[in-house]
Amino acid sequence: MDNSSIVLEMTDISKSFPGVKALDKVSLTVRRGTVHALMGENGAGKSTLMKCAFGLYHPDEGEIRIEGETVRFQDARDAMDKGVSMIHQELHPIRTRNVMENIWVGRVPYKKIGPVHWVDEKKMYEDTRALFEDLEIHIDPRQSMGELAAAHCQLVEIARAVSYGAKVIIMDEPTSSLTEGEVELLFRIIRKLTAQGVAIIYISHKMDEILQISNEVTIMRDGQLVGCWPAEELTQDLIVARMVGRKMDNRFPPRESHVGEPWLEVEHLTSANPHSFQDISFTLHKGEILGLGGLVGAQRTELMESIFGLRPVASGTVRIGGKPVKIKCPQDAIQLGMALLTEERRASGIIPMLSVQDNVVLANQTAHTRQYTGGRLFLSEKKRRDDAQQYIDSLSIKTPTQKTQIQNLSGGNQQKVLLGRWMLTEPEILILDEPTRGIDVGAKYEIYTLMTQMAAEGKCVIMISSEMPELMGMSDRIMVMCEGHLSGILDGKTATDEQIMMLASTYQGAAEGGVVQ
Amino acid sequence: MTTKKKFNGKQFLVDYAIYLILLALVVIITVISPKFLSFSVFKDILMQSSVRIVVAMGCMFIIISGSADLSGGRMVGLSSLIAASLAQQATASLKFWPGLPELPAIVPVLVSMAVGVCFGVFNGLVVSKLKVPAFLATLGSQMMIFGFSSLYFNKAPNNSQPLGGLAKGFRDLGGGSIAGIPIIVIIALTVMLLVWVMLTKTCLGKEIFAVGGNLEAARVSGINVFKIQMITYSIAGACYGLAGALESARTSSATSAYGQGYELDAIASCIVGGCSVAGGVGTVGGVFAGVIIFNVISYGLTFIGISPYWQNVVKGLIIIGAVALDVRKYASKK
Amino acid sequence: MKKALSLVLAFAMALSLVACGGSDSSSAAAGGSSAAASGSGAAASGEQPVAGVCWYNFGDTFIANARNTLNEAAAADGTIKVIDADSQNDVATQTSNMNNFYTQGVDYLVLNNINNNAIAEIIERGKEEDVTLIFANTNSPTDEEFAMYDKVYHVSSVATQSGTIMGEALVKYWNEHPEMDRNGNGKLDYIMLLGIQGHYDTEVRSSYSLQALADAGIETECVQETICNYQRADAQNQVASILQARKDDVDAVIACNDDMALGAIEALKAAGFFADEDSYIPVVGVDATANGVEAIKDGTLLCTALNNPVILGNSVYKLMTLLNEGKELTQENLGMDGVTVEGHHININYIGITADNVEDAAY
Repeated sequence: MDNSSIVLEMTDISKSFPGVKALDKVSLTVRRGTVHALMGENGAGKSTLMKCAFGLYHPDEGEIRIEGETVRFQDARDAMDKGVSMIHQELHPIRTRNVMENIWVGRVPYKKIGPVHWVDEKKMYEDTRALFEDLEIHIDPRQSMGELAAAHCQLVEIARAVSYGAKVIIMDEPTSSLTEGEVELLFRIIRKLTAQGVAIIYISHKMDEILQISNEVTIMRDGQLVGCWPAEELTQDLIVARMVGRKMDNRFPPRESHVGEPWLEVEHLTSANPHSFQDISFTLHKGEILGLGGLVGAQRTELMESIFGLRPVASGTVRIGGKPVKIKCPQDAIQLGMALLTEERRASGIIPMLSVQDNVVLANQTAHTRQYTGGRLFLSEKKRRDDAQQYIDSLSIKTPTQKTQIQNLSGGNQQKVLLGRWMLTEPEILILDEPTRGIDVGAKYEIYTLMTQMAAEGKCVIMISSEMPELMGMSDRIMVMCEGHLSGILDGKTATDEQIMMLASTYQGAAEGGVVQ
Repeated sequence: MTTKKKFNGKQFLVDYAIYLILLALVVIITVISPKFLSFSVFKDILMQSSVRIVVAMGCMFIIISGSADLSGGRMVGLSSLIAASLAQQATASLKFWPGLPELPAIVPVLVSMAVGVCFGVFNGLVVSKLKVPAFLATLGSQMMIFGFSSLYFNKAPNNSQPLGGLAKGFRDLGGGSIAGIPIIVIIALTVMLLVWVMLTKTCLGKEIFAVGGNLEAARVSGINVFKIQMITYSIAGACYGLAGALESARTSSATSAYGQGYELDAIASCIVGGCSVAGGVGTVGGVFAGVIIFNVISYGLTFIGISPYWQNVVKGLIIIGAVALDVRKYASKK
Repeated sequence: MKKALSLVLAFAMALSLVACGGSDSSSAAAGGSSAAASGSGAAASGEQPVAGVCWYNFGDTFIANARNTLNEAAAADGTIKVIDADSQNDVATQTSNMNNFYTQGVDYLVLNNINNNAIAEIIERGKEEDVTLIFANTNSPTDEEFAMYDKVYHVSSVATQSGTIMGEALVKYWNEHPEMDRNGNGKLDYIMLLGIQGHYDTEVRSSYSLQALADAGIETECVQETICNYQRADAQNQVASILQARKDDVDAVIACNDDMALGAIEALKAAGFFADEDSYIPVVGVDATANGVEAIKDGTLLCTALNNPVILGNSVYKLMTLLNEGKELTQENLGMDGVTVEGHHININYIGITADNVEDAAY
């Protein structure tokens, strides 16, 4: 392969965010007319790299060249003008307008008559048709965007990229919301585009797809480049090994597990949302920490929020301590001794302008008001203060006073306040959704310690995590989900990165899932 | 745990802006007309503020819970009509309900509060069950309520005549005094005290703040958001009902035009008084100061003989300034 | 939850029933422009002549009375069918209501006009449609405009009279009670309560009341002039403030309507006036509302001017029956008290109401 076939070259790209080095001297070379897959775990830096390539982020260091020419994108529009387009995982079409207006938005063809720019509907229509014919897309340019299925929206988005004269099209998880037939259609268009010399950068977790469609595969890990290989030299196992390939270290408190009797039993639970999880069964024991692994879109959060009563369930049963329970809302769950630390600390965790004290006692005060009022009308200030202080001390929450607004605390301390909120309700079942995301190492360790203590007291803990070391370091068992299905349950002591990654990216039906109960 | 805070002049200005503005207003007016600083002026302003305080207290519940309510003003209008129609002397020249004996003063007050609660429940259901954005839901109910007021007002034999001939016992609620303190002021202060207790000392109050501060987080924490929304709208409705009754008692009359625009004044008072438009923040004292500021402006500028149109200019400026401060207070910390 | 919802609905319905039930007299026409539009079938067919009436605002007390009178007269007489619409104090609504009436083919268009800049256009349109136009309780078309079309009539009170009546009542009181000049400066010091800025009634009531005082040779001084939007509560608040500032300088309060006068009286009472004979202070208003008349009986309000809505409603109806019979509009043919016919004008006279003739206020 000669150099003239290189269309996009990114060299030694580095990018830091406050406290995190997201990219560390990463390079990427994409050739004309090929599909270049980009792979890595959640947080490996794929998206950051692509946002640099698409002008959404400005790299701190490194160089981007398009067809040998060094470029520095001002913004996305600039990148598109210079031949780089991106199809985002979540599309945001203007649903109320028609297809062609969506394609030409911002650069609508016009005729100038007098001082007025009149939209040239005819030219817009013809241009769109020509574009679609070329790509063999069968969509009426005048159809309203809102009427199109997700797959067709994506095709329109691709056509839009082509209309900008894209030399490189970045596709971020393009098949995440497509059916099998639609995936075929997408692949046909991709092949068509590559035949015309367009390069595709394809981000996906689905290894079978990657091996089927791509020519080259670049693998990233922890913000660094692992390497780049021709697809035909790779197997699924090789990819997984290179994606995870790290050693464990002592970032977790030591613990001895004493798994007791079954406590929470979930059987055949299916979400009311047909696109969410289906037929999930598992058992959680007293004194156990159950890890819940999977990739983005595996519906782990949805499963846990449904068990907690935040989302509707279509069918299935939940038993606690052997008794069937009906949980329709969080109040029910809390009364049954459950607690849920949600994934989005800002969106559904903290109440930013309220004080640390208010935030700590919130759940318990609502669930067990009598503890605070003694059956009378007024809350006991002393009880509130004592309760809050108890967790400020035991979780070593760093706050100037109890009355400080929680929004003034660091992320890790906010998270500990929220943990305190739930610990105060003395839960039997503690569900933690990505409890250590975006917080510093010290706070992480304290959260791990707390989980260990809970388990030692015979409580049940479920931890959703996308971080492999955390899953393997903390869990007694690891339950892995893939696209709304339970793809397997592994023993925490023996599970390997490769096993988890394999289960997370492939669902082969419950029968073959390798369930280790 | 406490750290000694250094005095921060800028922060002080931001935090106490409203009280400083109030002080500045009083000083300016007093310089122009020294008679302004007197007990009777103070009493007048409190009396004129009383109805507005009660409306603003109701409105404050809604704003703290992160919602909006535009129906307050028209609710005051409807309840003033209902209260006045039930509070007429048996011998009133144009009797709204012919043959109705003179009722104890408490009856019209309770009935108009009950009507307020009914519409509050209606608002709450529309917002929480039909998921209509609060702004639009209450805009709709505002129109409906005005429609009901007009229909009631035009009922024969009244035929859109301003209601009059109110019983003395009822009028005393607006004009009478106990130990030199106007009854209407006592009522308004009592409402404030109740609201303060409810918001700061009870579990319900804490939950209202939580829902307004972060609805999702409140829901996850086991707070019944539906219940909270229904309660806040009902309390607001009761406040509006009471305010309407007091307005008719104070003016010894009622028409369907009563209360027009009070909701916006109340919202403005809340915002100027430090409630966050985003919800979750607000104090009784701040809102009280907000109401007083607006009344000092209208009373004071009339007192020194300035055209009412200037009052609107000044009020508008203060609202904009308050919201600009509000944005600074909460945005800068993110 | 369902129970609660049904409760609310039931309550709302009950309230509306109560409210509607009381006003059968006008229920045929209630509902404003939509009701007018739905009446189109009736208007187009049959021999009975139809009059379309555009009132500026159903919610206005005076209009409500005039409207009820007109509708009752039509219902009792049965010659002319009356349908009406509410302009809601909005020029655009008035225009679409008028268009609705034209579409329905009305024979008479009674217009409580608020679009005072478009009188010529309105007459032109009426001429095209060949509909008799009656301008009611509004500005008069000019002589040129009358000349455009022979079927134009004007029925209205003479607004300036209301101001004059207030002024003359104060003149009389001033002459009979020298102690009225409370600060002894030889001038009549007054508070002027205006309705709405630029509003015609506000303008003439304030200027003609002062004119009457000037004509009688009384020197006046304005303590404060303030705008209260015809609202009782506004007047009460503002007068309270003015009294705190300059209580001893005030000799009289001139209000452009009764509601404001009554608000002023509340504030005056709170400031210690009207406690006995010596603390009397003259307050004058316009409209002779029920509450205003009560105040006159109580001895607080000195005088109010009655613009009788019953006469307005009856005059309009009488005028239409005259025209329907093909008769000329003359004083004799109209045969009504309290009005003066002048060409195509019916001028309704304001009546000054004081303690001496308070029984005249009943209508």
